[in-house]
Order: sequence, then structure tokens, then C-alpha cells
Amino acid sequence: LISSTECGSPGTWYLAQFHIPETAQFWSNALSGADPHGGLWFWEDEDEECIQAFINNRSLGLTGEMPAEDWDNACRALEARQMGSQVTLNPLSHLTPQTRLRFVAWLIIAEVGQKERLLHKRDIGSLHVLIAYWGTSIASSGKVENSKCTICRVSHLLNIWMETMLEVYLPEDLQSIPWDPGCKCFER
Amino acid sequence: MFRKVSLVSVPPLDEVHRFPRHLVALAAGLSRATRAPPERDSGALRVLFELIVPPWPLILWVVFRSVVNNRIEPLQTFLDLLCDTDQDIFAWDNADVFLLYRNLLKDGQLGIYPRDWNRYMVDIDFRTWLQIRNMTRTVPDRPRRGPDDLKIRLAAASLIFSPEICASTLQNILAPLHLSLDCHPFVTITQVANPNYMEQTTLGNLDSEEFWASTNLRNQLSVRSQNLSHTLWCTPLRMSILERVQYMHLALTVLPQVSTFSRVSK
Repeated sequence: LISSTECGSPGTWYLAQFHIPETAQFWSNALSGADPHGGLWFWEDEDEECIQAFINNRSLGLTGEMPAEDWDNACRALEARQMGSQVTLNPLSHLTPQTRLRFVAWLIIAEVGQKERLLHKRDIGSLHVLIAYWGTSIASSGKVENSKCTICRVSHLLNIWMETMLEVYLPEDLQSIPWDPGCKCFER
Repeated sequence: MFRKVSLVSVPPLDEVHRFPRHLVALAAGLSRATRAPPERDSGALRVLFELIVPPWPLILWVVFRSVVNNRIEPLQTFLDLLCDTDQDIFAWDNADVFLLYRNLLKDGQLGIYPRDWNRYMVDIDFRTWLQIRNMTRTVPDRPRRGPDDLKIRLAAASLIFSPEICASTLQNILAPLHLSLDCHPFVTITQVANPNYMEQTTLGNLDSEEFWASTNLRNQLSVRSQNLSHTLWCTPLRMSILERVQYMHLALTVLPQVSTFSRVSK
């Protein structure tokens, strides 16, 4: 489990690089076992190919390599986790590698990135805004698909977002998220 | 007053979103997958909670649950209070959200809300939170009572939940919020609002030297301020608890204070 996560760290880093400017605290929080829900951030052995394909997909515009400092921080957090007595299993282990990658991207946008935007941009981050960020993170081809809805601008992403979320959440959970745009893309 | 909410009637489906037809079909197909729904306190659900639950009602719920531990059906009691109490206490706007988030995010944990609050947050389901959110959100921005507006509303809400609450207890409950509540004038406000508070006498012998000693004069001034606040708290005039706390705050901060007097007496 540890080794697969260590190998997968560049995948996490690529997903996070545009959304989390200060990553040191993030590695510690996500991987050290300090958070009781830290298991969410762990990759599985079978994810390697999917992560590699994601990183190699240059049409995403991913730049640079995972800095040595991030490697150190990630490894230190994993060591701290190994020293701890509690082992948190990954609640996302039932997902396919592709879906897990998409869901980790969602966690980064909606949980960690959301905090950054709240602090530095005074942006509360409505669901359609988060979905737009998420779409940018996980776009699987260079082809830019446009939203049919000019209000929310994410109607083209809703199917894939919903498909990913429903692997983890119940439909009624998702229905309770406020939808701020005036369009009907997510509403009755 | 807010529209009455009963747990029996929560959640009416028309209060939440209905997915468009193609998304409903997608949900139906995928929910057939053999998997257990996530635990209420799971990290994955925490992300959704933080998208749905606004900070101000959550803070009030945390205070409520912390001080009324043994009450039966706490959620229904809380919803009744939400509907019957001064709307100003529960109302929030975007400016409140940013202020509260800014304070909460000072701690470097994953997620927005403190871990200790999660157990209370997950006591309420998503749909009820959505309903609370819709009932209490104020657009456009609400009027404010000066820089201590949030503290005044917190003190008033806490006194409604538990008249015997003291400022230090409130401070401990809300430590992750990084607001100073166990200080002047909130210590005095919660002291004199306590049902067991007894007004103190300020009588003294004006001819004695002891009376004019600076320590005694400070004490006299302090006692008079407390008694005045207590009078405001108990006034038979038709005022809400929030208004009473507001006037007590005004009296305690505008009238000459012990520190002012100390400077003059030197």
C-alpha cells in the first residue's frame, strides 16, 4: 500500500499543482495518518499504468516534474504513517484506477483547493465552479468540448462527474448540494 | 419568523434538486452497483458536508449540542428554536461566511471544519442541512451591530440555548473559531444573565478613606456596570434576547470603564 502510494505521489502532485500552492502541509495531512480519513489519498498497485498515462498525456498541459522537496515531504509523511499504530484502509479501493484518479482530482479541488480559494480569492466555490476546475484537471483528451449551457458552462461535464461521484456517493447525497446558477442543468 | 420545520416533514423532495432525466437514468444504473454507502463520518462525505453546511448555522448547532447534551430530540428542539427565535440570530450572509471561514482556516487540518465538530455536523442529514441553509441565508447582506456583531449574536444564541452558560465555556466550545469571547464585556454579560446572579450592593461610607481607595472605586464602578447590565437583561420591556444582549454590550462598552477611571484617578 505504501509503495503504491509512493509511486502514485506524482499523480497526486500533478493533480494538485494548479490548486495547492503550499504542498508541504498537504502531504503531511493527507499521507501521515494524522487525519482519520487519510486513507482516501492512497493509490492502489493497479493504478500505476493509469497514473503514468495521465502524466504522459501532454495535451493536458502538465508541466514540470514533481520537485524533490515534494518527494521528501511525501516520503516523510509516509514514514510517519508507518510509525503510527493506526492503519487506515483506502475506502476508495473498490474503484477502477480511472475512477479513483478522477475522484482524487475531485478531493483536491473540492477539499484542499477549496480552502485555498476561500483564503486567497474570497471565492466560496459553488458546485458548478468546482466542476469546471475538476474538468480542467481530468480532461482526458486535447479536444476541448464546449458546454451547451452558457450559464453554468459545465453541462458537458455533468455526465462524467455524476458517473464518478455515484461510485462513491448516493444520488440523494448529491441532490442536496446547492446549485447556484440559474440554469436547469442540475435541477428539476 | 422562519417557516416552521418539523423533522417529520423533512425532507420534502421538492426542496432538493431533481436530476434531469438523463442523469436520473445514470444514477439508477450506477446505484445498482454492489457497494456500501459511505459512512456518515467518512472523509468522502465530509467534502459534501462542507459544500452544503454553512458555517454560521453549524457553529450554532455545535454550541447547542455542546450545552444541551442530555436533551431528548435535540435536532427538533434546535429546529423549533430556529423557527421561533429572533431571525437575526440565525441569519447569515456571504460576508459572515468569509469572516468565519477565514478564522476557521487558520488551523492547517484537511477540510474546512474542525474535526471535533464533525460528529455534530453529521448528526443532521444533507436534506435538513439544505433546508436550514435555505431558511437562514440572507440576500442582500444583513445589517450589523458594529465590530462585535458576531460575538453579540453568539452570546445571545448561547444564552437562549443555556441561560447558565459562562463565557469561558463558550470560548472552549468555539476555540477553533479563534474569537475572543472570554473577555470584556462578554464575561459580564454571561455572568449577569445567569439566573442565579444576585445584584451586589454598592453602598459605602463616603466619608471613609477606604471608600476612596482606587481598588474600592474600581470595584464600585464594576459592580454598578454589572447591576446596570442585569437591569437591562431583566427589563420587562418587550425586547428579544438579542436586543437585550446588544444593549448590555452597549452599556458595558460605552459607559466609563474601570480602565478609564484608573487613568483619571492616578
